[in-house]
Amino acid sequence: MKIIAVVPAFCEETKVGGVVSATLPFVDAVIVVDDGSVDHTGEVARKAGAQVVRHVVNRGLGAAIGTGMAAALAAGADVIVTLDADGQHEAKELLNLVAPIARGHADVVIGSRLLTRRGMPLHRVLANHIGNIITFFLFGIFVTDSQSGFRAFSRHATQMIEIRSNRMEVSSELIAEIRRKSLRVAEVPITAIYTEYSLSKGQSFCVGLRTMYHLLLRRFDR
Amino acid sequence: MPAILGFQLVAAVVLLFALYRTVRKFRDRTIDVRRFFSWLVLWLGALLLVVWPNLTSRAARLLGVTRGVDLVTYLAVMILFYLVFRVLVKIDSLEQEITKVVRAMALKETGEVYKKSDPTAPNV
Repeated sequence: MKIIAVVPAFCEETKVGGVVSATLPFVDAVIVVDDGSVDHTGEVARKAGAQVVRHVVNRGLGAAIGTGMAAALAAGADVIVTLDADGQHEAKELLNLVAPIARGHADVVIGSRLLTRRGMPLHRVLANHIGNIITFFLFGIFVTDSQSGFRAFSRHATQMIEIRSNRMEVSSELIAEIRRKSLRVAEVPITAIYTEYSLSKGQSFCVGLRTMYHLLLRRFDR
Repeated sequence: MPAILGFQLVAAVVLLFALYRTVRKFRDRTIDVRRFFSWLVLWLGALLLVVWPNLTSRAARLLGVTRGVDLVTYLAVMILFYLVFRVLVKIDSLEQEITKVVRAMALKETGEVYKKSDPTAPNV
């Protein structure tokens, strides 16, 4: 069973090397999608042993994940795992995510930071709850951590899923696709590693508002 | 017809000029038939209302709006909202198309890079 990790990265030259090194032992290949970084993210990733796919201009998280999935499928992946390039995820927990798919119990596995709630700052917990509720109302499916970047997909699930979002709303769109395509989803607890660095990235309230606007637009799109 | 107001004259001249420019652009094939027709309807409609403002007053009274100009304003705003909505949706659609192009370029480039450096590497 070929497992390929997809790491979307935008200007993460300080962290992506570490993420690649930490992930390689658990997978057959790491594909880093360099989303138009203006620093040396691509080179650092390549030196660390990843295969790098580069967007000439920044398109956003959703686009990067879409490209990474296409690349992974072309490379013959049976299981595709997405993870963040900022070191927020514990690479070895990857195996926990792949297990339900390997056993044939699920098509998609989402790593949830909220099953244990360890180490997550309160405002992030709140923001996540709001995100989960909105996802539920818009798409009719409730998961405990809809915004988690640590996910695993079977080959079949990846082929079924259509990503139209370009930016951060992709997290919710993936959940919506799970429902639309009737895929089996499982949740697995993961630890979130929050450093001052990773807290400055990710979803701020303003990004959250913009994300909600894009999601509403998408609701009328289909 | 009562005495023509200064505004009506100015507006009529401006609209006739706009009409002329629009026809020119259509002749030059800068704009297509649909666009030309839409603008034609707009300019002629505006011209009609400028020359006969009573039309708006009558329509307004019919709909329960006090003044003709208020009715025109309400309609204009509604149309603008709708057009803006259409534009935003179009932009979203363009974003998706741009991503498709960028993705195709990325995958093509990667395939070439890896084939060049290591012919046995997986075909990404």
